[in-house]
Amino acid sequence: MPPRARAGLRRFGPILLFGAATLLLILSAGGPVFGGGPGPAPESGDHGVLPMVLLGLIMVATYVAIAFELVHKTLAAMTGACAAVITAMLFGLYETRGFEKVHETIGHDLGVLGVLLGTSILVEIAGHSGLFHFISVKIVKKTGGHPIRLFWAMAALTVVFCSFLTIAPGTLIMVTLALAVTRELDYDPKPYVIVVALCANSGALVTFASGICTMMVGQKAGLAYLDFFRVTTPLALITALIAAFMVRFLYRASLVATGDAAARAARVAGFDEWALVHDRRVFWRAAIILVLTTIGFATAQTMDVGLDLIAMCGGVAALLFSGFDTEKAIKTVKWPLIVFFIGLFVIIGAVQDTGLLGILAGSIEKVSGGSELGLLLIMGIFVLVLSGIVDNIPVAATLIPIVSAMAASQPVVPLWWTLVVCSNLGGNSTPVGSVAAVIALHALEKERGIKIGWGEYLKVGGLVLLVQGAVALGYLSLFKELGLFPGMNS
Amino acid sequence: MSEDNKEVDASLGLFEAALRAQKTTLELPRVEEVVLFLDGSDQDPTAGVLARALADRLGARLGIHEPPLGDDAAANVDRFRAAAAGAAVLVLPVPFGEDIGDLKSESLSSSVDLALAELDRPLLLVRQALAEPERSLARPVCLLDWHEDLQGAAASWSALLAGRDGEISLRIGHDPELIAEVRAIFDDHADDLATFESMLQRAESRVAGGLVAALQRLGEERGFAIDFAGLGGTDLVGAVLALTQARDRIAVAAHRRHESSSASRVRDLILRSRGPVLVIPG
Repeated sequence: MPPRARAGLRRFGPILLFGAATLLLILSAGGPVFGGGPGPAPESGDHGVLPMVLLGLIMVATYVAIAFELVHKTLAAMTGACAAVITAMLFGLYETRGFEKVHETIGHDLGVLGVLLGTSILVEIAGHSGLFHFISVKIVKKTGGHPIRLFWAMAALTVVFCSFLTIAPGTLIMVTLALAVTRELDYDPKPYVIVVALCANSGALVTFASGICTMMVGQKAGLAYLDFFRVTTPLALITALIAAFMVRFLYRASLVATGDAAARAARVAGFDEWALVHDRRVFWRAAIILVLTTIGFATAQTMDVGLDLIAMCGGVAALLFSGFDTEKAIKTVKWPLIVFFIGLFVIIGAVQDTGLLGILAGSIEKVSGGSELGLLLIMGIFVLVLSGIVDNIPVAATLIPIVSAMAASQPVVPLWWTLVVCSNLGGNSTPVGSVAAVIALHALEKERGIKIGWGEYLKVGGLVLLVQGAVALGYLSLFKELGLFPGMNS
Repeated sequence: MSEDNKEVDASLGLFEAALRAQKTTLELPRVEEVVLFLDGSDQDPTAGVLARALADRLGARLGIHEPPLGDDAAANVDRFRAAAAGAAVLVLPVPFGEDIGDLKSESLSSSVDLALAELDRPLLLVRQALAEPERSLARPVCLLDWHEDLQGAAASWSALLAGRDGEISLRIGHDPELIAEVRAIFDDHADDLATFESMLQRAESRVAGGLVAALQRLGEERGFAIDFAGLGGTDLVGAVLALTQARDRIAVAAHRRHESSSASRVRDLILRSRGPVLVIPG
């Protein structure tokens, strides 16, 4: 799209959309204009084709705006949500004023928002405590600066850090470590940065709380924390190994030890990890709270409490005992992301009420020919491909109600796990597919002036995803066929 | 991308601090005597209490010099010099007006000005009364200069004061005049200004990395706590004073007597401080 057209659309598109919808609302004051008629809202899927088409278009338009960055993704979701609510009201999908229905929709997702909010605060404090920076420099010192050992250490640390901190903060720490260490040792930063970007998405599979999509699907599907260790943790390690081996192979020419090994080892031994610890009290308390929260997550089901409560307690404990400035910590929560979620949930809620998602679920089931395994594979491939193009959060958010709708006709446990795995790994294929790649490539260009274009990234990431996707789908199919998914036999 | 850049710079600054940390060895100063000079003002009792607390904390003897100081600044400084022949800290009361805004430029006496310029001994300048002098001394707020030798001097004295139960806050930053000038230049370029401020913080982490590491090790060994922050575009003296005033803490700063920027920063700190300031000549 030409820049002027994009600028024009960015400037006037949402205004026009909002204005048109508001005008319709004014014209219809006192009751819905199209169908439905006054009185209580009819049941889902009972409103005719037009609202279904219009709300479907609003959802698609929102995703296009997000994918092509026509406006900030939060603004796109908010605009889409406003348009969706107004449209739903016009067609009588919602009762008068409609806000109760919106509140109800958001209320269904408060669990996800609670987990997000609590973990955001905790992760922010843990990330800034110096704990993870400290551990990473300790490990780098153990490698003696040898390029191959350093490469493997980077890959392993990325999986571990992203599993504790989620993708964005984990990637930030590891990419900046890669940039700083490779500068000191005069290494090519590319293989280190790319392996971080690719392994981060595997890290998001390790536990329930490791990734935003993972949390979202896990919370909505009611997947138990400990079940992740049985299903996705081994796959996280396998897919990270695939990524690391392939990057190691593709960049083998860059991963060669040069210069005086003794001098390099002495230089690395001189790295001082204590320079990273700005406050030992915050450092130790953050470590303790993180461990306790992880134990809380693991035992939440046994204690019969929600993961949102554990996450909130972890966040509050971090604020209370870390000595970190409360206002600063709360300000650094990714509020745009939380608002983005709310907007997305409202849009999807409205679309769900038209019955469109139920029809889509039925169509997908028909395409699979009634085969549960076929359905798993079709959905897996679809999510893997789409998550590389569009932000994986809307992809997962849209598929959640679709999978829920399928629950009436077949067991959906394998589909939930497929959604968790594929929405996280799918981002590996393109430079804009995952937040890890965006952070890594941006930092590489900013710090070292090295730009990795779509072509180069697709060659590596696309190839890695091809292998990872095949292995992941094979793994999930095997789990399904052997009945290894937890809860499948109950 | 300014917010993302800020996060990248902050994390890189940390790693650069660790990877390029200068090996720093902190030697705790030895103090044999705390020498108190009285000036006959209402501040004498406050200065007396703080000097006693300092002597007790450092295990030094306390010497009190009376009669009060005279009007001749040069003669007074000669008396200071004669009294501070050994390993001593000089304690001087410094007048302080309630309305700091009006009295700011004239609230240091000529004797103190001359002592700051000429003496090579640490000076503890006592201002308003403290509720708990012992506790104030154990929790120094240390203003760090960009010169590494001055950083070491201020940090060593802070560690000595903190002892086994204290806590040290380390702050490094820049002069507000410099920041204001840069802000004026970047007035219409918010992204450039944000980049400048995050790069400043990154540089601060790197410059102080060796010292932070050495102090953390010393703190681990001796039992005191440390918190460090680079202030980026925030007024350094203002930030140090905010910390000292909020919790009645002592400020510690080192300066080069004949170097205008560090000397004027320390003078600014003393002028604006309501609490005690320990000044270490570099």
